[in-house]
Amino acid sequence: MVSRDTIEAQVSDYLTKRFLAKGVKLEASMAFAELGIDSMTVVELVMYIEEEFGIEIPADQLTGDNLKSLDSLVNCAISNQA
Amino acid sequence: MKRQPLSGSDYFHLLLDRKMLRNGLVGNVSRIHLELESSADLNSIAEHLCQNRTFQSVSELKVVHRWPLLPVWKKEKRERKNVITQTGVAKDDFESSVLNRKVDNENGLVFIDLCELEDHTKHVVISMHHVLFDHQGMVNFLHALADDSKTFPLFPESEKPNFWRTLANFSYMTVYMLSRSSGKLGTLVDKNLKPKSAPRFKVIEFSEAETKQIEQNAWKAGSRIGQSALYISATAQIVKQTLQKRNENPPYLWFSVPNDQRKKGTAGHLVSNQLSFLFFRLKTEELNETETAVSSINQQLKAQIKNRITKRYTDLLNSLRLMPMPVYEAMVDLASNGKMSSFGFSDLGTDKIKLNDFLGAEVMNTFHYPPVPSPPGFNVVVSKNNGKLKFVWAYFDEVLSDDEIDRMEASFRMLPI
Repeated sequence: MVSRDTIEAQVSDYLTKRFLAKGVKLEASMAFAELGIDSMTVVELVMYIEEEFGIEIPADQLTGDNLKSLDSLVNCAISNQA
Repeated sequence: MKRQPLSGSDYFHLLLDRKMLRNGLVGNVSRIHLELESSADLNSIAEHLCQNRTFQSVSELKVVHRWPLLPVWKKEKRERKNVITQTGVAKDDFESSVLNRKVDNENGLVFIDLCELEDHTKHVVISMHHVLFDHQGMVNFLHALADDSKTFPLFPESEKPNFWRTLANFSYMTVYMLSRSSGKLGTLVDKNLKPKSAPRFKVIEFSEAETKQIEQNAWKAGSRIGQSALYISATAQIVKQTLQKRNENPPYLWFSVPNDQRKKGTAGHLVSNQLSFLFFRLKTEELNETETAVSSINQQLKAQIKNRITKRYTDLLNSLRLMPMPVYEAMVDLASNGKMSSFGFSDLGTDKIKLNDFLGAEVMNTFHYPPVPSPPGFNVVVSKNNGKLKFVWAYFDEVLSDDEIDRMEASFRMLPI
């Protein structure tokens, strides 16, 4: 089992380095839409979680609410951890 | 001005421009059309625009290409301001000349028309060459025009490419593109057709309630993150139906979808496209059911993300800046047998162009007209503003007849869209 803090820290690091402009501070509660993060980027994050932690998020849980922010995405991942 | 090379996607847009000009079209030009309140003072707006620093700066830009050096941006003072104010313009003239205004490297890559039509409605049309702006750049430009206090960096921050990684990605993507050989793709236009008419635009707008229903339908059809897969499949389905009505049965449709590569979290820079592409092939039988088409798009999307296709394709586009344009064109034609793609498609996202006021005048309506490369001769952009979904179909009379467009619209509205 990977802890919530570890998942959040790693996804946050990946998101910041791969997608965010220099100097942009990411907060876990910030809405992805506010940051201009589009659906393609969210697909990449979901796939990153799948590959890095072996956590598969079922298709019926890929809802707007679960994919609203880093916080909600990590919560969704944790709830699907075997 | 510091030496600023064009990006790979800028150079690709120059290639599209070259093909479009050769086919008798006005070039690779995007337009934003604002319908203003009837009391708007166009002369005062023209004065403001001529003094706008961002407009001045962008108007002075031109592309200089001295092969074998990389193409670069250069600033050149221009005597004439590219703003024209006209009154008493007939609707037909507005559509055939203003909405078809040519902008080019010699006379300026951006042009603004301020028109009062015969019916006294007032309009602003900003015509921008696609070599200048991707969609976010265009949105930034529009906001800088509307409010001079808003400033954006002119160009993106430069990144140092890794030679070996670029070479590896160049090789990988060259094989990828050629091996996926798209030569048998279905297309609505004969590759040798040279449309003589101005592009036509059909706007299909849905109410807020309809938009909500469409988003629910997208979920039911399997379009999970965002609704693009549903919109793409609906577009592909009507193209297939039209081809079948013409007794053509191509084995598949093939198309690319632009992907924004800008760093997120800020509005970013003005000039230079930061785009890559994703590629989709839908077999004719996959287009019989929306769910099957959506599922195929989802699978292809996941496979391409896994293979880092957008990053690799960016490296390919950047490397191709070293090619002289005719060689570049021959390479692109080789991959698609000169047909380019079955149709064009872009999803511009939600509430990107939100402009209530333009230099003191209320904005009644906003339209975005995409360029219409031919081939493929049919280009679709979708956006969502104020909760309403809007599709713009751009095409030529020589490519799609009025009857065909009517049938396509009827079918489109009957799909789960």
